[in-house]
Amino acid sequence: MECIALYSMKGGVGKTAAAVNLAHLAAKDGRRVLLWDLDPQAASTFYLRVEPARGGAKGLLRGKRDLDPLIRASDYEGLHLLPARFSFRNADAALADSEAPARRFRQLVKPLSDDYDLIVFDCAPGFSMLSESVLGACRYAFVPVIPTPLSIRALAMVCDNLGKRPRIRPFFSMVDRRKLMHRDIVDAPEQLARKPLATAIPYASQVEQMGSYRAPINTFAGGSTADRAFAALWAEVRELTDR
Amino acid sequence: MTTPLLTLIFPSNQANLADVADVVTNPSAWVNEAGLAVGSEDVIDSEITYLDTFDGRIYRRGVTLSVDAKERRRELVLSHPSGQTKGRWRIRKSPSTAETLPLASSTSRTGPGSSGGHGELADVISTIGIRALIPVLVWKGEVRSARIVDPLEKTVALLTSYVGVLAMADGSHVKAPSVVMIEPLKGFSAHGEALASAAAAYPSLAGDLNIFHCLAESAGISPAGYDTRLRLTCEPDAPVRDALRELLTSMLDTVKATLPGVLADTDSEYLHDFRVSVRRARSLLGRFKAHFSGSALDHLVGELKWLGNITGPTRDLDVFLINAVTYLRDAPPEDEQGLVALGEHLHHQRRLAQRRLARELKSERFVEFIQWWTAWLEALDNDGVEEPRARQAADAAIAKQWKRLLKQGDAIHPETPVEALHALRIEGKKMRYLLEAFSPLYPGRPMKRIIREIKRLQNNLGDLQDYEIQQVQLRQFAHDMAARSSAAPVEALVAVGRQIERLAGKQQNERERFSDVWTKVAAPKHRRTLRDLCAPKVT
Repeated sequence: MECIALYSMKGGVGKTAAAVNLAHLAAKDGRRVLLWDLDPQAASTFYLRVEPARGGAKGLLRGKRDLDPLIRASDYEGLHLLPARFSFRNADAALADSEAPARRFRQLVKPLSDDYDLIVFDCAPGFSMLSESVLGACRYAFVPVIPTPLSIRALAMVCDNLGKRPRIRPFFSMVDRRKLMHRDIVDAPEQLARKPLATAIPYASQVEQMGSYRAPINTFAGGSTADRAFAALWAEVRELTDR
Repeated sequence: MTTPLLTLIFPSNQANLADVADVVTNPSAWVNEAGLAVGSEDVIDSEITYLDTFDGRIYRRGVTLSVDAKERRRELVLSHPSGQTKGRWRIRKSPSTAETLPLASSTSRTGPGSSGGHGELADVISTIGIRALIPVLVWKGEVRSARIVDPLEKTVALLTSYVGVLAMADGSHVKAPSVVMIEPLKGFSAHGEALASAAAAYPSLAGDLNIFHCLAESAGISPAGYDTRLRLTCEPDAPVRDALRELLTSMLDTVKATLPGVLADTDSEYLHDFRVSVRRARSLLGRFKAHFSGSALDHLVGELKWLGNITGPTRDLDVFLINAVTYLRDAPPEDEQGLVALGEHLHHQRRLAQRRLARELKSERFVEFIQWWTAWLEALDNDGVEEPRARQAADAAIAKQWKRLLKQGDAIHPETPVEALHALRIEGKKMRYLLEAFSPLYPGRPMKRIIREIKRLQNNLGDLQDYEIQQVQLRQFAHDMAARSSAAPVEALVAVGRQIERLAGKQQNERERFSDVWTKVAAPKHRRTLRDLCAPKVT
């Protein structure tokens, strides 16, 4: 079972859109996928039309609750969701008394390997014990980066603070090629602390429309620029994770 | 963890068809009662072919295997009898044997929690063995797939309904029971329960639902396939002729049932079952000849002997070819080429033998014989003559045959010529046939253990004989090869020679095993059992 995370220090960078679309495309590709929404904002949960759960984050993160009854099937074959809980905002407190939270989290997800080929973690923005634990359980962390100096700086901070695991692979997100700054940065990716993936996700109305349709882009705007971009992104992610 | 499935089956003779139509084709009314709604719906024409072996091995395994063909797609589906899917595999062609089923390593479209599909298919492959997969039931109709949604328009369940007909062997169609399946999505079981409560108002079948069973019933076929076992139903104190008529009718039915498979050469077990029925009939007539009139009996026995003779060559080659896989595996690499050439030769011989056999079984002689046998059985009655009861006659026959078997078996020692073992094999068969045929007359089936030991004896002596026949066949093959060409490949002849040696070794091993096997057959407890059951005729 592969574990990947969509992670960013900053909010509003297209992390959840990427998580939902990548998870959906992976499922379409024949993988059994679990999308775990760890963000108290519950955006992934909203996109997939599931009610967020209430309470219980502490017991869940301490391994005192079986995960299986909490999982919900999405409308898409092969894609399941572990819905967000508002109580994840207190997750760090739940993990504070653990000696090795990253190891605990890996143990927590291990039983899921019977049922899933891929877990996609949609992490909350910012740096926390929870995000550190989740990232420690993953082989790759994919970091959306809006091509601006502040985003590049935020990426550098993430790379400095995380160790060798997970491998950080940034990708450009919400790219507007009408803007000179965006063009300059995307065309000179060596400025980033890590080499980005080749695919850049454009700033596109279809991504915003996900909130209206409450569905992955491929289901309502298949063939659009955004859909093709996410397909290309999935192809790169798949190649990395299949190694 | 898999999601439970609710299945509703509406018999095709459902009295209130309007209700069935509502549930199946217009589910909104009852779905709304559950606080839910019908979302998008697809209707696809589909054809589902259920596969099994002639003797219902897959059905008896407790699963169903079908080929679902819709639009341009074909899938092999392994299901629980309630309809819950255990595994799906995309295929190009309908499988006809275990070898043509998808292997465990191929891609499977199974949902999370149902990864058991591959393992279960592997079990099915081993259950099928050498039997062919044949279409046993064909359903054609409309498959309606609807999403059931909650007020947030989130899909909480899938509703699938099947409305169609069953295609019969004569080209006609009968209306099939309509089937509705409700599959709650993972995490939405409460909604599934609400749907089930709403659907409960409709008169579907209750209890242990087996879709295939219901379809088979509608089509008038046995879901468990053809059973070649004898099941005597007459009472122990019925006249013996009633029992004999029942048994011989059953054997004739098996000859008729297996004939199409023999002619089509579907798999080797059809011929095996055909021959076993012929041998059983001969054995029964031989043992109870006093109860039949002379000329009719002579004719029947003569024609059964003819059938035994014409089916022998093909069956011998079948046995050799079935074992050939093991021989090839056990042979050293340098013999491989020679054995492959032998295999090709045997396949060729088998094709010729099968053609000859098919000609005989399509002949007037055979057709007339089957008609005669059928009419003879129908006309068989007591002639007003006082005759023994079935149990009484069985006691005497079993006692006599047991005495004969013990005498021959006890006389065999390591130096006894092999012909005596072949003769014992035949007596063992007669004993087994008698016990199997008449054991229903003995409450509690006390002969089960004895039958088991006699089967082991038959395996031992059967292998002994098969190895001998195969050595003869191989010598003939080597002669044929040399006769065809003075430049016959030396490697092939050497390989054949070595295979003959290996078979001689195996034959010797079986010979050495005989003593232990016989001791178990002739054990004091078995002697006591038959003495007590068939007293006072056993000494």
